[in-house]
Amino acid sequence: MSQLRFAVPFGVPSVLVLAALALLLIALGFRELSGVEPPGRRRGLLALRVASALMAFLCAAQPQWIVQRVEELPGRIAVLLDSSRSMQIRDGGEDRLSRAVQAAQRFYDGARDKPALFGFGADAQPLARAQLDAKQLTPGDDTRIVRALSTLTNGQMPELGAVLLISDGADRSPSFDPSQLGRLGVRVHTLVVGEAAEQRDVAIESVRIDGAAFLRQPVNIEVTVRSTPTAHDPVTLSLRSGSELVRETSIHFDDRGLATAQLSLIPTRLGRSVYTLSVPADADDTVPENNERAFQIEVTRERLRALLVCGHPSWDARFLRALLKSDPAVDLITFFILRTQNDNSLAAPDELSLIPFPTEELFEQHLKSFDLIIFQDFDFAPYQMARFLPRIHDYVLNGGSFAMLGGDRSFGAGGYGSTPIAEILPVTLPERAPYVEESEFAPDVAIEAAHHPLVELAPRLSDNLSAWQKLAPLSGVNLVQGLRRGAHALLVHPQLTAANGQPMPVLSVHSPGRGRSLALTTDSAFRWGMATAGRSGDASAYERFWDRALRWLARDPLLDSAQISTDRPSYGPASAMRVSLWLRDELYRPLSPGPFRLTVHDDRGQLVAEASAETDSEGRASLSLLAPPRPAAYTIAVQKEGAQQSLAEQGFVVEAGGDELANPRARPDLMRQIAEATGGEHWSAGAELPDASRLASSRTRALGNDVYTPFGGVAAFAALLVLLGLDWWARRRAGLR
Amino acid sequence: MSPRIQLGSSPALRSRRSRRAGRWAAICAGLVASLWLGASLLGLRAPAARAIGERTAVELRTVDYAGGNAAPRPNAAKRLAWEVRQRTSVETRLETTLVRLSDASVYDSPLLYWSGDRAFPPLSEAELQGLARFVDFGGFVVIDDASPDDNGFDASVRRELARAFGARALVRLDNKHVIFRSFYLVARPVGRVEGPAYVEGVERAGRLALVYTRHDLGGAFERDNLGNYAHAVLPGAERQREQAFRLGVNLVLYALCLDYKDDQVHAPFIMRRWQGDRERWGRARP
Repeated sequence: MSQLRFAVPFGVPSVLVLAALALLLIALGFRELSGVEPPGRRRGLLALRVASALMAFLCAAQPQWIVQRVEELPGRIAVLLDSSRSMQIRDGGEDRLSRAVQAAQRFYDGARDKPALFGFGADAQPLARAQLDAKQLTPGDDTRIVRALSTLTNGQMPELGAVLLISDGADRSPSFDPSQLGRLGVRVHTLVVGEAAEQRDVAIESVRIDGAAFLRQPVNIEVTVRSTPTAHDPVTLSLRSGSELVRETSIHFDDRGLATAQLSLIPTRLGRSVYTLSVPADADDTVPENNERAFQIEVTRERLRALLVCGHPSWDARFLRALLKSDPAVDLITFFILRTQNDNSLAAPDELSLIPFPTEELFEQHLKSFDLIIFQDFDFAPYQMARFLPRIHDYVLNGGSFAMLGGDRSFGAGGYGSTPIAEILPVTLPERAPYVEESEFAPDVAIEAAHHPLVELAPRLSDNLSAWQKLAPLSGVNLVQGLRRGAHALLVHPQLTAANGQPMPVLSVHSPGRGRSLALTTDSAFRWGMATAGRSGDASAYERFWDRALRWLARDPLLDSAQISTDRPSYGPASAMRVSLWLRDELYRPLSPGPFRLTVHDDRGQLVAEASAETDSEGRASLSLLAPPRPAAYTIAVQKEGAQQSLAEQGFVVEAGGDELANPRARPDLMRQIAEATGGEHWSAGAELPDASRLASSRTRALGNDVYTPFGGVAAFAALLVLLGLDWWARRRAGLR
Repeated sequence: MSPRIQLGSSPALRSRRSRRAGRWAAICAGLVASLWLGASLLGLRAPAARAIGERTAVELRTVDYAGGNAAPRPNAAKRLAWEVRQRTSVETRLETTLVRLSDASVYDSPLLYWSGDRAFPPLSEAELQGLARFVDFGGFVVIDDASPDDNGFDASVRRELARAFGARALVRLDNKHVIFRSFYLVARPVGRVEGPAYVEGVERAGRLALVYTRHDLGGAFERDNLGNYAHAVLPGAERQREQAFRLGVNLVLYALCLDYKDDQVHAPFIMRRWQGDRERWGRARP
């Protein structure tokens, strides 16, 4: 293996400049010597010029040839045995796995230098000889040949010389390209098991679903069903949610044996839902498992429905409304109280654009339509709203979100102290004046809450505190008695204290019942935008704060403090699954390391598996589990050891068929391509493998590099001088200067 | 409890003292009444601003600039602030201040009133940049030509707006624009003069960021020290003055509520649609 490079500083750019200079010298020579006679002398002078320019270029550019020295060593063979679900298929008398195991046993037992044994489905796992038994092998999940080969070549076996891959080749991963396997740097011999001949099978080959599912919006599903042989009567495709039939349609196969159906469903509830698609299995269907597919969709609201009620027009209301209106993810209804009983508009009602405040419509008929209600400096009493306040209280306890923003009509000053609203707020309210403090202040971030997304303007604590201090100061604050039990202060007043001596909360959050609430006790938060932008040119802090606040109030899963995720949405029965945890408390601090309990429940609520996990100092953990054996929808949840309530949950599906069995015919063509791309040998189904000693299995070891720099020595420099001297002498002889 | 001590005095002395005290009381009462009456006439008796602190109340700051007359109607902004406070729920500051567009404090209050009655030299680059940034960060500017009969101020304003926002940024606003129904239903713009049947404006990021009126609104608002209106309003007299106030109130309400009145038109329909959704698909879960 050799390589060319240039030793001149700055590499290729320098070489290009030097080459251009050499060409310029040659071009000038041509121009200067064009009048020299006779032609023989001219050609001689030109040859000298070209030679000296070329030599000068080579001496300056310093080309180097680097030759790698390697030695060939005998390598060890690894047998990579496919134990994926497609290997369970019977192509005739025996299933593919049994035939593969028998071939591997014969190869292993006949070898003098015993090969290493690995089984693979989605991942490669070492096997002992005793495990080379079709009944003892843990079934793998989907066939992933590249991943399994990469596991062996990435340091798992330093002495690896060659791989013997025994598989049906039914790898349906979309990016699988056998021609790229030469890059692995290891020879792969292949033995295919299973017949390429097509069996009788009707299969749901693919299911494509819209990327996102929104409540009450149609979700489109494209289903492709394949029939083998291609001629088949029409079949009925059914879509079910649990046992409930959602859609049913008859599908007709084309000449290629393919039928495509477009279905749509309209989700009517938020959260995760599992659906199944099925076609009837004929009596002689070889793989009845692939006549059914399951999928789950996570239903969210397309847009956050927010109600903003402002007690009067103000700059704080104007900037918040403009921000919410500009957010395409927010469906906003705003009501401003434009005139109170004390105002005299000097106009007849028909000269005004005012409408009555529709309290009953908003807070009785449509209350549950909203995801979020914001009271911005709004006092309820003048609008006979006392009777609606218990409804708002219940709305929050049942999962709604509520925010109260400051002003002299808000919090205690708005008379909320003894109303049901007080019970859902994060702060407790004073019963008597003073209700407000007017002085200007810059709020402090509560240190324990510095990583809460609402106040995390920068990831590093010191940067975050500094960023908050750079914002324009606030003007005035609503006085509160303190925090409600279970609530958290995120921003606090730098001087004022609550009744318990703690700093007075300015921004606080709470999770009453199943809902969420936020209290911002100032009416000048808009100064984090425009006034700050006037100082620094950056208005993003205001936008970022409200964007995060809205997402937190709307329970955006990305802002969940505790998260659990699986590496895939669906698995084969009893296949390996990888589960990741990131567990933080309500202030987004890593939960103290300790055992956490993972539980897996099926769709009937039965506990089917348990495990425990230890988190690291960041609250993260990753562990491997086996998927349940029964095809169904499952929920995996994590709890603190001994606690009942889940910190986080995630759904997944176990399918008997899935992608792996959607088109399970053996692929000898792919197996041949793998061997050809890597320099290995290929054997067809039923062929007898040769003795291990006859398989090419050498490996190479790098011994070092030899570097040759032919124009770097004194000789090259002397040759250049000689050429330049000759050029000068010949030109003089020709009468040139 | 300490004992009460009564100082002794003669009846004549008590009578003289009583008459003197009565005179002082009458003088004090008269003084207080005069102050109250004067304040009322000047329009300065008002309910206290209700925001937390004065800084969050709405202030109509007047733009100060060199070379022209930055305050041809010195108390017009104050008068408008008073009317807004009296007629609407908006909390305004009655004391208004002058501010240069290049001043860092211009961003503290998002509403500017810019008036003049004569030509002025080009604004500095810092002032131009300040104007563009003020508008881009969310501010709203009302420009009022106090001398609509000559073109001095008009030509200067158009020149500066073209420099700041481009030659075609200033466009006519028809009477369907939300500024004509943000509080009052206003048929056409008027001020001290009847003027053109339109106002002009500059839109930025989908909202009206600047309004230019050639109706001398400030001339209709202006009162003298005795509380009398300083300028006759022609041709519509007091009815026209009231219409000018209504336009002024609408402009302040637009600055604070933007296109809220467009929302109001749509809100019942949106809610009916949501109602229909629930009836069709069952009760939504928040």
